[in-house]
Amino acid sequence: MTIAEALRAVAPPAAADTDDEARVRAAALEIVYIELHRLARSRVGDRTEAEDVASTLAYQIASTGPRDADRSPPTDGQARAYLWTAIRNRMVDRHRVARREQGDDDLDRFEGAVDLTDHAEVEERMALLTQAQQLLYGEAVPAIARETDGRFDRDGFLTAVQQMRALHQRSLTLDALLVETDGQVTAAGRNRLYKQHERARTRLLGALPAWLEGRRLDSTLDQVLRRLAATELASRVTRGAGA
Amino acid sequence: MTTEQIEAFLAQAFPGQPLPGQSGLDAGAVGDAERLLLPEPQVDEARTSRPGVAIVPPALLHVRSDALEAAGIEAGFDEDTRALVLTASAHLAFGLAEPGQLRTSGDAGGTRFQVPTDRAHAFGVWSAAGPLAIGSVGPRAIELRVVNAWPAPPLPASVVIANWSRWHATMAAGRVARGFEPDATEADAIPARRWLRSVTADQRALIERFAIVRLHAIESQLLRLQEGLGVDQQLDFAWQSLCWHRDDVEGLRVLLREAGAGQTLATAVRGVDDIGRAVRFSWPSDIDVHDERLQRVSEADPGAWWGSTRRQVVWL
Repeated sequence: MTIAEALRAVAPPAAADTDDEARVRAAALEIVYIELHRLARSRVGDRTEAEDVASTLAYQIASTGPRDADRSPPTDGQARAYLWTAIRNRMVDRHRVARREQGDDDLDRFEGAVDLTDHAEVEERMALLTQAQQLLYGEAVPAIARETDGRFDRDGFLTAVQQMRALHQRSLTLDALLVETDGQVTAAGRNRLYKQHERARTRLLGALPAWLEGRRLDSTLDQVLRRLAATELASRVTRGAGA
Repeated sequence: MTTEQIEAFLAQAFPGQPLPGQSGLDAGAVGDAERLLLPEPQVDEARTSRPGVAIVPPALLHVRSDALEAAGIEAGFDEDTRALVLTASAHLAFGLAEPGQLRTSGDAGGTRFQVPTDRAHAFGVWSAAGPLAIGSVGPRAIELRVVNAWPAPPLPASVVIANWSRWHATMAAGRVARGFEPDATEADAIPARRWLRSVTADQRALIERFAIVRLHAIESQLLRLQEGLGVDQQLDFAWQSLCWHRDDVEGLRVLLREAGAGQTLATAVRGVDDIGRAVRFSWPSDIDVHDERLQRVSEADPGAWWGSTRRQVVWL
């Protein structure tokens, strides 16, 4: 099987309809992983990081397959370029998150909820921002928290939102947060926080449009609130490898 | 309409379908009711109208119905005949049914129907594969409900949100199947991927129809952007929303493909993706659209135009 053929066939083997199909998918997955690992090792110095990137991406690429022939690279050369782009897209994000944790604001492309240099009515805009903050944290978050259940309990959701907000406002650092909760800074602790924040963010941003639709805010306030949520609750914790 | 009336109506109007309580048409398959108020004739209009002398056919009043729109059917109101006029394009043909009326697949091949509003009655909108919507005409309003006549997907409890419709749950199954739901595990993806193998061909055809309608909405938004026409919200939010919708359709495409179906959707996707790639290719560099979901798209399928604008796209 060529790399291009493997990229077309790759999909979770456990979901295959027949044993033969499962074998083809497993073989394709192995080829894709080996090529990803080879490419990652050639560009990424750290062996563990290269393995981590290759295995994560192999799973992700398999999850979106199988691919139709016209939506997949036709040659091995193009398939390698495709896989390399996937690696690059992942590595850039990992480094961006890591640098942002170190306080490098240049990589944070969100400009904040309101551009204060754009217009003269600064006071009016600040009032709008304050109103959006009150609505987001005073009404939307508690309302969405009331609907959380299952693995993500209400208190866990509220705590995660408070932590994300504090990290955004820099009133709390990641290390301080881990020391406060675990007594030490560890990769496992970082992983746990990453998961908790990711789940809370997904829950909140997923439920927010429906809440806003029901609340029927003025369109400007609606937009400011959406941007505020995307800005203040953007990811600021990465997986544990960096700790 | 009460739940009992809905169930009785579906059983009468769609005799080929499983009954409520069996797989397919359970309570969760019927969406929330929306009420469309019938326009009242103005006193002056009534006093001055002269039937029979009109030269230009009257234009229809546009009727906004989320239930019908989701099924790919446009609605208008004819003030002269006081009828709801339902239309669809040829590839989204449909039919109308009333309780007790026998229907066959061939009857669902129409593209324009009128629903009289001069008497109280119930009606159903269906495709050859099954029901799409049900409605009831009252003295002052028409009540409509979308029907997603397929069983609920197997989703982990941590993913399900209480007020989700069947359609929302179906799209969530697509995300779970592709590992895009943070609350779902790798093991959760397998039953989601296998789910559509266990439903009927008609039920798969219904899901495909709703997905194609969703895709048409994406296409018209893309064309507006391509032609430089305005969108209803800020460009970055409009693009983010468009990308999420396209990604939802991708999830449905994967589910259908795993069940050996979805060829019509796959063909429709190709045309829309050509436009999407063209818009993304000339995307203004200063408009940043990025979130975790779009980042994930850029990693899992770098050929997808609907990934993060901060990341590279492979032009396939």
